[in-house]
Amino acid sequence: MKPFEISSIQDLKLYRGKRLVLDIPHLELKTGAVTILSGPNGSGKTTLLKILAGLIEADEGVFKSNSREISCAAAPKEFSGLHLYMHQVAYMFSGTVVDNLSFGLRQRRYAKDIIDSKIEKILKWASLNHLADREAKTLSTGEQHQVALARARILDPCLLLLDETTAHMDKSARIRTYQLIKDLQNDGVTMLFATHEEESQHELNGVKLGIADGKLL
Amino acid sequence: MIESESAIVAAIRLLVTGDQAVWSIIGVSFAVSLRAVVIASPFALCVAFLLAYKSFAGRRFLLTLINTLMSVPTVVVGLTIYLLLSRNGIAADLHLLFTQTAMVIGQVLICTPLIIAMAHSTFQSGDQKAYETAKTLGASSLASMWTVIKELRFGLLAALIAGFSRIIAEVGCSMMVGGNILDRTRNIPTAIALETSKGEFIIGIALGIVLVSLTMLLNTILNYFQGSGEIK
Repeated sequence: MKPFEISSIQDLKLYRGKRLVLDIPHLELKTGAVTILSGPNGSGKTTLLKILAGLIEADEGVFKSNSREISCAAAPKEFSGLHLYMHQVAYMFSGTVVDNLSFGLRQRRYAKDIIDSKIEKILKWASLNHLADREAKTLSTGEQHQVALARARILDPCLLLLDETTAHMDKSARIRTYQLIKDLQNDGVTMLFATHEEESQHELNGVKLGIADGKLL
Repeated sequence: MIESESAIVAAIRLLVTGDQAVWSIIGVSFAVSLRAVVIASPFALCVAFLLAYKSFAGRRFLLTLINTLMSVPTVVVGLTIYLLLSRNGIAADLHLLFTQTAMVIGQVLICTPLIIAMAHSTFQSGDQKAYETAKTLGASSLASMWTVIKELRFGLLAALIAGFSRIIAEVGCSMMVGGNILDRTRNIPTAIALETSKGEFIIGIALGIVLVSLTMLLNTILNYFQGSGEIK
């Protein structure tokens, strides 16, 4: 079965107790495009991204692709490993940059020569060759985000979910990150970029959506 | 009256010269307690992980129960197992009373709540993004849990060492279900209790030295790992 390439979400709802925290009747995601989701803190950006990543199970809703539908109950299992979520502050596993980059490939039981080949390409793409053998936890925030982007890119995700990726970065790190995201966009990777920074909305060419109190504006 | 200095010297001599009885006792202690920790650890770590990462009905009650079980006196654990394994007990046919297996069962029950509680604290204080990152990169739930365990290995090792420290020195359960039989179920704490009750202090002192030295060593290892395992 082909990986699920999500095209739209219908009637998505998430409750925390009795409180409805996310209520999205309809959301279209264009394949190969960047959707910029902007909203204040607590508006539901992270929750929506984590649902799309399969990290949170919605209470109601249907996810549609061109060929089939997935219920909210089945979504976590289907989306895991295909819709990649990047935290606002990227988490680096213990070990080197190469150990981190190869994590997803090792979970998929790729052969060592394929892993080495993919690592070589992604190090070049993200300009991380000089950091390959460094302990990932000792890198700067900006460098860790570059590693996290590369770690996701190496897996050819169907959907990349970036949660305020450029927050906590200095200007040069942000510029570098925007460039990598544009490279991903040119490669046809579908992305949903959550941000509350206006700069991100100007830097990236994509569909702009607003969200507040769990509802799309 | 004990001549302390000569007793201590005699005790050290017993250890250094490889006295068969003393080293048999030490061997039983390690054999039983190491087995207990090895058996308890996988279950304890899984439970601790679930308590830290999953919401489920009865979670709070389970936490309260674990904290309560940590405080149960070892002799009560021993008594419970004794009643089960004794001639009139429901598990009498297993013929486990006064065996190392019975001691292992008791020590598993004693150390498991402590390991769960400490491991739960470690999981809670760790960065929960580790689990989400592993999952989103395609790791299964089990593989993600294993990843988190590796990330928090120093703190979790401290939990295991704490569990081991508790049971290597417990006497209540070991005495009741082990029977304190030399070369079979006599471990360090039960031997110390016996020798002291006979007025024979040299063996007791020798074993006490071993226990204190072991405790020092475990705490040194604990401090080392806790120091080098800090998230910076």
